Amino acid sequence: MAGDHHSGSYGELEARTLALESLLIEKGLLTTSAVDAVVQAYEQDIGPLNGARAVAKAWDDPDFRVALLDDATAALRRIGIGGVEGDKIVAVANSPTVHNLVVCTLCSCYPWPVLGLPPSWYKDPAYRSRAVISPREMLASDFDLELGDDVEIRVWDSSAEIRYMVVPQRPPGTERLSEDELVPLVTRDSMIGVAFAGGSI
Amino acid sequence: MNGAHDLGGAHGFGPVSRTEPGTPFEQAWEGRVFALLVIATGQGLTTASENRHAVERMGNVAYLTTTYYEHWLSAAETVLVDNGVIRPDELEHRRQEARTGRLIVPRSGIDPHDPLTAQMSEGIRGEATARRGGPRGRFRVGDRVWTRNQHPAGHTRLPRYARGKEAVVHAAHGSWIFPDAEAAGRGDVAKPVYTVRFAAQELWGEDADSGTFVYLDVWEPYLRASRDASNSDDGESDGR
Repeated sequence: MAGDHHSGSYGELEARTLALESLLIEKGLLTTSAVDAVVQAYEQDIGPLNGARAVAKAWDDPDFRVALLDDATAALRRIGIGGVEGDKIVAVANSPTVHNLVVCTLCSCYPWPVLGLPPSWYKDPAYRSRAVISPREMLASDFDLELGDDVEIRVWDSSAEIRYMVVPQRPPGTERLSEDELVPLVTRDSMIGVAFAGGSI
Repeated sequence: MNGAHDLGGAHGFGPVSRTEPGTPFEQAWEGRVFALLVIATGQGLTTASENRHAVERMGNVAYLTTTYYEHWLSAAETVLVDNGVIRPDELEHRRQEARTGRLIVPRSGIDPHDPLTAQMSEGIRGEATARRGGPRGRFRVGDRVWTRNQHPAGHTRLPRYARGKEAVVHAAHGSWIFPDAEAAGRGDVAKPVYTVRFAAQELWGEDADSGTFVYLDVWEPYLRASRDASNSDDGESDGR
């Protein structure tokens, strides 16, 4: 059984992976080309820039904002965003009185088509355990994000196949920026809900 | 199952560590494990629920002391053997060979003419697969509901922190493959899914923040119309 193996050195993990690949290829169920293509897709193509484009458009175009909040899956498809782990995407908007935060306490569910693959902290026990029980304290102490007591916090635990993205508030002083100029302000962390837009991550 | 993976509300894991590698895969094998399990799932050799359940079954100590992609590697080995794709003896034999350094798997880049490559490239950007049609569910937006106090030994997506609690239905999403059944090999069972909203004080007690709410996505068999309702009172079969 798989459980017989101790957590391994790099060599052991590489060996176990190679063994699986080798057998699956031999059985005609896998090709290295397909493996490399999937890796490349998530290392290079599918990432937070997708979500940033959608949010920038929502900030710039009120009709698109309504469409995104009403049916994000369809609105995202219209601008070429969608795919695996995006069967149904729901966009939740931050405001001065409501702050949204996304987590998957049970594993690591994350809106791949809009944000790519999740950062390691999102998948690790500290975040997954704290986000649902003490989000306000966690955001303040671990993410330098202070939310006043007058701000309602909504934590979305992605336990089914619906995937969530946060539409952060548009930073003040950006009224004259074009949609393209707004894109870099929409950070990955702001779309998870652990940061405001306009930061560096 | 009440495994170590069910982390919501746990204490003792320390602060969130923000340091992260610059790439999704720190080691090359991690990307290859990720890809092979995504491909195997896309090919129908396994399902998302079986993959998750395999991670949950790797043992609580192992789960907490191994890395994320080690979870994926363990799950891949488990599901491929469980589903008869690979035999345990051939897997062990091939591992031994790999450990000696004598196993070579030639790689020649990405070939767009390879059918599996083309299929996957399109598949990861393609349409939904888990959503199913079907009759409207029992509950409506705004309904007060109770989550069941259930502790199945198998796979479920109702976390411990949210069992036997009162919530309000926030949204209805139509029917989706039911994970408790899919993990047991019955991916044909679909149930209505709802987003339900819990007050933090309902989950964590009166000391909790009154201005915090937790939204959770649940399948209809996880819900009851009232706290004391039983299966027969609801006239509803769980389809397990």
